[in-house]
Amino acid sequence: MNPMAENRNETVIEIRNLEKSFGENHVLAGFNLVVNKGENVVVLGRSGTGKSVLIKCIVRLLDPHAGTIHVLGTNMLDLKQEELDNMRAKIGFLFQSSALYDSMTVQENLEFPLRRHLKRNVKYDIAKMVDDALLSVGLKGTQKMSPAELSGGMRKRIGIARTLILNPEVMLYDEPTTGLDPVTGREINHLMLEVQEKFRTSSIIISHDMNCVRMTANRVVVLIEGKNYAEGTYDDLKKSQDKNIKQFFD
Amino acid sequence: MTLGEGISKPIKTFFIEAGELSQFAIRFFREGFRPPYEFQELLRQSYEIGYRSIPLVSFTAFIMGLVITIQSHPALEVFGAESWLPSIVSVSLVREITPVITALICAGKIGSSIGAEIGSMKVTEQIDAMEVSGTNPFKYLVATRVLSTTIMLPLLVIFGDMIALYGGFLGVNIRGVTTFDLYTTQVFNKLTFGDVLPSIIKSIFFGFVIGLVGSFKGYTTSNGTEGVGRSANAAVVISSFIVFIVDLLAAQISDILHLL
Amino acid sequence: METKTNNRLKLGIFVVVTTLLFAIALYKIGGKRSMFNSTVTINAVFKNVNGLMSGNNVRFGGIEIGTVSKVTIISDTAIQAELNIEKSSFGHITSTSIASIGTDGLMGNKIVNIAPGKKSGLPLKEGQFLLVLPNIELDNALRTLNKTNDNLELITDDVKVITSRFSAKNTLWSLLMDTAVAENVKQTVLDIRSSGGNARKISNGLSEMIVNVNKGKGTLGSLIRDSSLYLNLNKAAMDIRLSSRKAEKIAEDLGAMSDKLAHGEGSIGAMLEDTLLVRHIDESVIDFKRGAANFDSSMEALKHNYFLRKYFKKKDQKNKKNKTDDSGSKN
Repeated sequence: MNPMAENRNETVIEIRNLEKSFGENHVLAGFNLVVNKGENVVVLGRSGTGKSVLIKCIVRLLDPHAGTIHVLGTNMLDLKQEELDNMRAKIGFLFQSSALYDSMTVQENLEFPLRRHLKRNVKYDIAKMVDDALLSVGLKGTQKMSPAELSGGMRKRIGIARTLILNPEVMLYDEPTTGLDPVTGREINHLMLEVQEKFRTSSIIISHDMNCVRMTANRVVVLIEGKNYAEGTYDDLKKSQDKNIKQFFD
Repeated sequence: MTLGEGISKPIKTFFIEAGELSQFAIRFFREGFRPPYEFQELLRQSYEIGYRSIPLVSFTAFIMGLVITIQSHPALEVFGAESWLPSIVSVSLVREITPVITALICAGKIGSSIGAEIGSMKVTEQIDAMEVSGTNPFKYLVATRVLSTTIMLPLLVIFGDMIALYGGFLGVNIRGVTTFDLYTTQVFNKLTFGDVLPSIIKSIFFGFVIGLVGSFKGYTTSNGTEGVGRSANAAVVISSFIVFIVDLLAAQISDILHLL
Repeated sequence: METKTNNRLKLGIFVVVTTLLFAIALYKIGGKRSMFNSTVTINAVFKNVNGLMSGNNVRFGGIEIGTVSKVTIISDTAIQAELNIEKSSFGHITSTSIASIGTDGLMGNKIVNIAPGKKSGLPLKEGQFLLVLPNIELDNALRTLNKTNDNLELITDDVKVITSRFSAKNTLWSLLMDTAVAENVKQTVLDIRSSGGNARKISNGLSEMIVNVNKGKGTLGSLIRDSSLYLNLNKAAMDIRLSSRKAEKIAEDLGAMSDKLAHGEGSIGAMLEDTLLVRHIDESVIDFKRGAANFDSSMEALKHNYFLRKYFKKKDQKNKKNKTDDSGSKN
């Protein structure tokens, strides 16, 4: 249950001196992060400290002011639109609110990422792809349902399924358990681990939910004042006497 | 930073908003007509915007046709010119009343729904989700809607014209008897291209304004669900306001071009 | 998928139906302007086109058959109007057809009326010129009518003087000695007769117009039907008719009297004894005067009504020459 061990040295995501500010508010001020192949890294931080900003910068939903971001060896900040779209296909992004398209059925939601990422002259069995993705999140047969009919946990699962349909190499989870009851949250944590194992993904998980951190993290990075304040395993940090770190565990 | 200092905040906000809206319009023309085209979505939106508005537009147009005819009757009766009723009513309906009323109704119905829909997509990160899944949300959401309203509004206005003229026919027949045949002859005798074409051209602009403002307010929504309501509201208010300004300009321009 | 197709079908129906309706409407509007019909161009030269513009309609016997395509000044007294006539109607226009400029409805859209000529002519060819009727202004027509009316009044004054002389016994003999009186009376009678005739013509014209108006011919008809204009018009016609009848009566009486005067002195005494005749003439003259005054005020009312322009033009234009001649000689 430690897949990171085998590919310890292969870097998937490398972030150097990332800076991003909104007006006077310097959200990221020289943030550094390295994610290795098959590793689940949790970025821990309080609300509003720019955790989401970090992963949005990775997929270029936000443009950082300074610093570099390399994903799978590609400089994300120096891409044309088409290249960027191709890179984004390799990165799965689970939004905090799941971001399912309300006006579409589950089936259409899952098909949506395929519209731009299927090769023209290859015949795809889209129905089977949708089926498989739903199967891997444990929601087989929900194709015809609309997002409004789904519970919060189901929406998260569908959200994950929607990213898995493109077989991503990197997963970015934005507060995956926020707003869920502890039981459902635990299910989602298990699902994230399953995804890690099954799809051999490397992940950045943004969270302040300690259960989530404990269950999913191979490594934890504490984000305070726009910098990586501390780094280590869950157990390492738990032992820490720093009051800034301790507050997460209390 | 230096520009705008000393100007009161609402005025500054107004100009910033106007600038952003213009930028948004330019973005529409730059991105909206470049492939890949979101044709399916365009059709879906056209159905939602065009077809689904038929009942509302028909109802209001019918009432307007009927009421304008009934209201104009006494004035013409004094003058002894009741036989002019169809011509006069049809000209005012086709030229002004149907386009503007339809545009206002659509600003209320379509503008607010676009503002709310895109706004809620914005705050629930659906727009971001689209972006990362390789679909340009501006083209998928905004361009299709702006194009749909631009195409559908003139069609709705034409449709509304027909219904309003039929309402006028009933209005004429409330007092006195006029056959449908005579009514249509009188109507089309008086109507000219100068009445019809400017009205259709201006409804194209009305449609563009409604779609653009609705999308703009939706796309720039912030502050969560509360912001969605505000966007929907602002979409209606601003687009109605611009509809009137466009109407004013259209009247002036067609006057200059001697189309009236 | 099912509903998607269904929705597209509905959208398609909406778009196609609306576009078709629009096309039909455009065709209907355009048909009027001869946009989709092939046309033939002919010309007409007027002295004054009264504001005729390109795009104004051309009518033949009251039916729209084309539009004015161009109006150009070719000399200081000649304005050429180019008329686009529908091919299908073109065959009815002959070399004797007459063009005139009229007004469509109330608001002064000018039209070119083409009337068939009295004699049959050769069919007109493309680019040829139509015969043109000079425009008669309503003001002119009204002025003429007024003059006639003034004349009538003058005559009645004359007649009154004569009859009062008849009544005054002391001047009887001096009157009878004056042989010129008989001649005078005779001339007066003739004048009254022709004036009465004119007045009758006018009244007939007006009656005919009223009948037309009653039938509601054209927008003018329907407009007039309810308005006070109609009443004025009717009254004027009646006044004129009454006056002309009175004038005729006076003429008859005076004719009889002058005959008696002319035929031997023996009957003079008898005639002068006949106070009944004198009173009769007197009454007639008063009636006539009242009639004339009525007519005068009606005429004044009409004059202020420019709506009647078109009708006056047509109806009075024939009478015009006679009247001006008559009244001219009188003045």
